[in-house]
Amino acid sequence: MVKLKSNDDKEFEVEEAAVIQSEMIKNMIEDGCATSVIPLPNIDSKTLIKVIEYLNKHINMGKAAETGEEDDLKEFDEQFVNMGWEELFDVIMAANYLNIHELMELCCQSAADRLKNKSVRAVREMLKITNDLTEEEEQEIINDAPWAFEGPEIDDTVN
Amino acid sequence: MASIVDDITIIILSNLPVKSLLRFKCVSKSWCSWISDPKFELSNARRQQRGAISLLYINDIPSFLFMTENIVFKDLIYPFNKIVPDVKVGRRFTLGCNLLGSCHGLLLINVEQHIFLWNPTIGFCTKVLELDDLTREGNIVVGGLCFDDSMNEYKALLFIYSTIDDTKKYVIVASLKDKKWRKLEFSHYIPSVRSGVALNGRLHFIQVRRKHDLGHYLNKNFYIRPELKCCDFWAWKGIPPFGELIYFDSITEKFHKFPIPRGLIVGLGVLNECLCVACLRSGGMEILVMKEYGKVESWTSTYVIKSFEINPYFGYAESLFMTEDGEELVIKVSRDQVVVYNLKDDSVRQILVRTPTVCISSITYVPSLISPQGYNWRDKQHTN
Repeated sequence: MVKLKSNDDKEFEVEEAAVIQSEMIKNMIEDGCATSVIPLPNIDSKTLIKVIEYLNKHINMGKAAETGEEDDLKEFDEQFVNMGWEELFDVIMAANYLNIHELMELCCQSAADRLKNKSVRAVREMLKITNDLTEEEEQEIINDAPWAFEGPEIDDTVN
Repeated sequence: MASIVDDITIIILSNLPVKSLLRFKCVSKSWCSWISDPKFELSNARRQQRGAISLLYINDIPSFLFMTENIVFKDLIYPFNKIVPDVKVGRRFTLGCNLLGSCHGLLLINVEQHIFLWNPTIGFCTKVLELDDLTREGNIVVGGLCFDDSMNEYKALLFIYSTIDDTKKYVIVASLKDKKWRKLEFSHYIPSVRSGVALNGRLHFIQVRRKHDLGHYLNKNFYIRPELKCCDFWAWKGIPPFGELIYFDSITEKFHKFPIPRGLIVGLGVLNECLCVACLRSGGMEILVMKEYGKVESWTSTYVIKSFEINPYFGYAESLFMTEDGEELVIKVSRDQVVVYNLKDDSVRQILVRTPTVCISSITYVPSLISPQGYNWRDKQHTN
């Protein structure tokens, strides 16, 4: 077992087989730097719980393929990304820090799917971005490809 | 310096389709600069393989249209006059304009002797090559655009033949960087080559038997209309047609043959990132998909369009693409007709029809944000 500590000082025990899906922790273990507790100063306990849930489910990808549990895993993934926008972004940050390739891809794709049809205003609000373009600059971008700003699919809601 | 949040945002953006990206340039200054960054464009173009659309050139007005993945037509302003002031997009097909090829969302298109690289999605356009033979009376050209990964450059491949002088036919290739045309060995019959489709660094062509292969069958009164890019079907009567699939390797610059399943090939395209052919069979047209690229045994019959018949003597199917909802297939079936086949109820409807004197030329591409630099034509430097 490997002990992980979140930035709000909570400790979690994870099986080594599960935790080495993180390239970063795998390297630490291989280098002998993971003797006691591994502190994760960038990850809070709420996010770490999600990440560990994912790691435990994906503990052995090869085994899943053999026993025909692939569909099960797919369903889990779909359920897993069903979380709030901020939560999702926190998991992406954690996956990036821990270097868990599959989790990173899953969450980035989910984030992209959510943004895909959003209006510019909705994106700014969701990601808390301040518009620093002048009105003229904005108009120029619109004029270059007006069709990109039109269409029944464009969604102005924030969720 | 870019923060981690910025890095992650860029990764998320690279999963988005082109339409969203063009819109999101308006989010902020940094978003605009990330999306406009040439490096980002290339990585994005490699990821986005879905969502093909078609560009159509209709020579009656003449005009350019593009057809979106939801089968909506939109007019497109062409930029060629801005680059070469006197160039005319003419009425006559062979002397006007040819859609020569597409790759990474870029189109290779000639207007008179000038060859342009055009990204209609973002309005990027530059002259890249020149060839006087493109304006010669009676000359017909079929082409392709591909990307040579080993040299990191685009290449144009052209099959040129004359409908007036049967001895004049050749195959040439040029890198869009060094701009030197080189003749290539080609063991197949040049006038029978059609439609170049780029996939996996190769250009694919089909070879369909045409009038030119069959000179001795023809009666003297046969009437050729070069601007139609295909011959009158009377010439075909009683002669069984056939088709072959050949590909051009952009790195070795050699041609090879792909074995194909039974049936007469009349069309070539890409569906869901796989090469596909349209074959004629009794009572309809069959679409076969090569599920695993290069594996002959992976050719799979995917659709049989029963309610639809192509004239085996001159018909062909081009510009195949699937609508966004995956329910309909768009096919250009002759030089003046585009139809939509509904996979669910097996029905066919026409969406674009012109009179037989008008040509609709079409090309399918996946929109991208690429505007490759370093390919510009400079008159002084490149004209011999």
